[in-house]
Amino acid sequence: MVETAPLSGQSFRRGVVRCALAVVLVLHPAFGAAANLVKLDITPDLLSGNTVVGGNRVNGTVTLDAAAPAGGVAVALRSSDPIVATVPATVTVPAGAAGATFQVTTKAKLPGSTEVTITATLGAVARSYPLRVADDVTEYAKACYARLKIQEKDLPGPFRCKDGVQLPVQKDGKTLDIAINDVPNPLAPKSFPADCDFPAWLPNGEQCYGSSFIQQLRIAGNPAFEGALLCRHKTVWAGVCSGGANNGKTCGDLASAACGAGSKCILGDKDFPDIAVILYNKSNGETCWFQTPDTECKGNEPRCDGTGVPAPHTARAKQVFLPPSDTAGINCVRCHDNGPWMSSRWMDAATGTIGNGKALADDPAAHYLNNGAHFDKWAKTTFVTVKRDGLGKDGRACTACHKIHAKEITPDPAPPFAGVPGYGRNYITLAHWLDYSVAITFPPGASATGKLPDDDHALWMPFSRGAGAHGLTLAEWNKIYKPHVDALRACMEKKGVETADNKKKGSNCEVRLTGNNPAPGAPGARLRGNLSDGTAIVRQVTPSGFNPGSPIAVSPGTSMILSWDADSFHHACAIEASMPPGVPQAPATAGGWNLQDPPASLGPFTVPGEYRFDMYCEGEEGASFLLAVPGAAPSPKLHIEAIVDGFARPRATNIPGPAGTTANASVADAIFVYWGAESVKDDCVVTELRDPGATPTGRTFPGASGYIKVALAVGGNDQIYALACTGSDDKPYTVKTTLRPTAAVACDVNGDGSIDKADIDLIFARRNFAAVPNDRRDVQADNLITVNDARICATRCKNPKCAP
Amino acid sequence: MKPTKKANILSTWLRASRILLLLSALGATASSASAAITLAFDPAMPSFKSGATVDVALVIAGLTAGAAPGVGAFDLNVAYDPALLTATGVTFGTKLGDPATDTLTDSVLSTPGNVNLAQVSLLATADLLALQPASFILATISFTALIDGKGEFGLVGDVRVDDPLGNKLPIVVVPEPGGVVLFLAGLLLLAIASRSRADRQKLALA
Repeated sequence: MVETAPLSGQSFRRGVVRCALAVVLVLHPAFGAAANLVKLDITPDLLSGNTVVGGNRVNGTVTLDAAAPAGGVAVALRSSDPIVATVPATVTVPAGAAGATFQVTTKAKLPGSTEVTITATLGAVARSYPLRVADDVTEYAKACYARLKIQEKDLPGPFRCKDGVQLPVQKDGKTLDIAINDVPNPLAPKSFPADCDFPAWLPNGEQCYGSSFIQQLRIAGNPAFEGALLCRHKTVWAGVCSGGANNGKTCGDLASAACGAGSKCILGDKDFPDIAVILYNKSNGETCWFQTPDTECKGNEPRCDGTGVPAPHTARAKQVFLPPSDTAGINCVRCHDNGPWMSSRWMDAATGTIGNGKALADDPAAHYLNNGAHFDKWAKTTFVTVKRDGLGKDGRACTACHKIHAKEITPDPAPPFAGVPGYGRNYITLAHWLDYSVAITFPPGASATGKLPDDDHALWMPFSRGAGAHGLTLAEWNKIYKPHVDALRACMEKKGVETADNKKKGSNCEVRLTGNNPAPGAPGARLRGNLSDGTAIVRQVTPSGFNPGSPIAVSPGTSMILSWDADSFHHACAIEASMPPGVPQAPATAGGWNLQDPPASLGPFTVPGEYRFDMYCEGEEGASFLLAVPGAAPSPKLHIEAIVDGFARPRATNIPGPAGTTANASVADAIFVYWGAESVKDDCVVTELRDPGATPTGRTFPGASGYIKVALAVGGNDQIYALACTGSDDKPYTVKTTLRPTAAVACDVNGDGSIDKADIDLIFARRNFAAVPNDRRDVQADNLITVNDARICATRCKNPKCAP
Repeated sequence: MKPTKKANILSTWLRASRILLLLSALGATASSASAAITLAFDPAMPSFKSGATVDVALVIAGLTAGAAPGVGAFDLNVAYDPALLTATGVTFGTKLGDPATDTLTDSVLSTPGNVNLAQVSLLATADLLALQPASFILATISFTALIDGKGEFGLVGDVRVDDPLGNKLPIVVVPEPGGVVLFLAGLLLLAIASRSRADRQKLALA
């Protein structure tokens, strides 16, 4: 059938000529059949329906019902309101094509939404598309809800800021908020302090405001959803007139005169000039952002009233939150680069009390995506993971609890960040957050208390290891975690020079896009070990709390093959082996094998006894194999050691035989005693004794493993810790370690009686930190540990080049 | 033939340069006389293209070869413009001993605009002094240029360089950042003065 509808855009002939030409065109499609405009379509952005967020460019498409003839077909375009949306005058469908695309440019920050009609005309045929243009927070919210898989009724609002948990500002441990739980705080200063113990990780001048509140938003029956309402009482600590004719009016500078006779200005904490709502779906990673203007609150704006924060989809939200294009312009992902929630010390002080401390917390396995008009221009988040890099079995890889964002450099010009040069260039985990978290550097506005060394003020991450322990000392931390953090930092840097190696799963620096991890609880073991005799699997294990179950009997002289695998979430994995006395652990290193490098073959097992292999990943609970070669009963193994200022002293162990060791320590030292025992009965106990005559102090600590923090008694006697157990062979076993009180010797930081490189290293690592009283690192006694102290101590080394 | 405006400016510039060179020489003589120990960046103001690697050495001078005072340790903060450069690495010198075996070193590059570099020697004082010439490189910092430009570097915070006994050395940083600015400002003023003089001449001729 020959098309007879009118054609346009080209000079054309009618009548007989038209019929003849139409026949030719049908016979020769390459020359183009008679083509009509059949469709005009515009692809809106991710908002629902036909709405586009103002300020975006979106694609339009014209479609013909046949291929355009030689020379193409020009389709005329028109916008009913060029102020709202502009289109080119024409779009040409190339010869042989049946369609073409064009761009529609829309205006940003329109109040409400405006409908504009885009029309395409070809000859007598015109097609129209009604396009709604909006930079409207409610439209953004509605589209977000669809991605978050929630409904408007799920979040009815309004919300009340003070229903959340207070985020206090503290200095030297004292809360300085205007009020605590609405009770006026007599310690509140007249303006927020310049420095504080836990700054808010913002540039100078904005880090120590208090009287702020964080609130978890939840939807019953929807565990994938989590939201947050953050109300910051920022910028000013406004006062309120109390009494008199001006009662209730603000008096920002606290000048009572401003309140008039019979009135006085008292501090107020009811204004929240900076309110943010973040909504998040943990399952699919979708995240939505709503932010009020961050300017001084005048006290009479809707956004300043923390008693009625509207849900983002409601009409009142337009009066409170910024248009989405403005919110996206803040580039929130620059700071929130590891996920929707910031895990600053300040923030965690409050969120740690919500939902058993699991609310608004990072989840390393959860996805994290920012979509929607403008927001999809943000950099896509990528995360790194590294092998354990020296972490022992007790160490937890940072990525066990956190996603760690790779280096990402914003395009020039770098987005400004509160006017601080350079602050907005990099996505900030590498530049700041990692170092703040582990006290390599401190955030702006950190007080002296917030910088205190050797306690949990400074060494925040990882959290303290248990009751009675105030976290790690710096030396302990340096020993366990510094190599790991260094490896992470190096890996984060590699994002800028991506290599085949860091794209590869199993490399020591794996960089991956978010959203690639299996969801927690997905089918299949996340960690699995297989023990094979070469022909069949002898045993397969999954995480079981290091409980190996019954020993696997192995005939003398046989070998086994050990293989491990873990899903893509697990990476920082290792195997730690324990052999019978006299059997070397080769080829493993002291830290065990990395997961990707398992020993190909174990054995041959010739020495009678127990062979144990513990597998663990990123600090998660592990799984174990226990092999037993007959010929000897399992040997009870006991060990106890004192760790003084983070340094393990010679262990006391019954392997290969009972031994007692002595460590020098001063009363100023931080001392932990660790112990453990295997193949023993359930009667182990550590007894604290004091010389002379090993007099019991009365303190005992039961258990086959554990640790305690101890202090040296003043008086000069040795302090002894003896671990006693009955072995599985019914014989008694005892090991002990002795702490000998000594005077603190300057430069001998680890108290081993000798000044050597280990001591200089400890001083050097803590340079430019404040000294503690009687600090052996501060040999110049100027209350500051410096490189001068390190050099002076180097001159006092016992051996050349400070060799041990 | 009347001098042109351009020639006037050039002539004034060269005269100024000669005066400045003379002053610099006098300053250097004075410095030598008081045996000032100096820290300088080499090159002081490198030009670079976007993406280029820029190596800048931190050089100490004014010491006495093989004799006190010498350098036993340092802990310095180098400032640079993070809009122009990003620091990528530090290579420590060898005059405090082999960096890998005879010294402890540390460098922090993660703060945009600042590089902290520190080194302490583990060598005995006599060995250390025997190793050191009058001038040597403490460390070389590598940068990657983010855009085309010209870099300038300075030392900020406490400039801590110690002799082998741990005593802090008095250090003169050259050129001091303020000095560079004053120098450039002076040249600018001379150029403006020259231009206005040329303009006056033009008016007189008119």
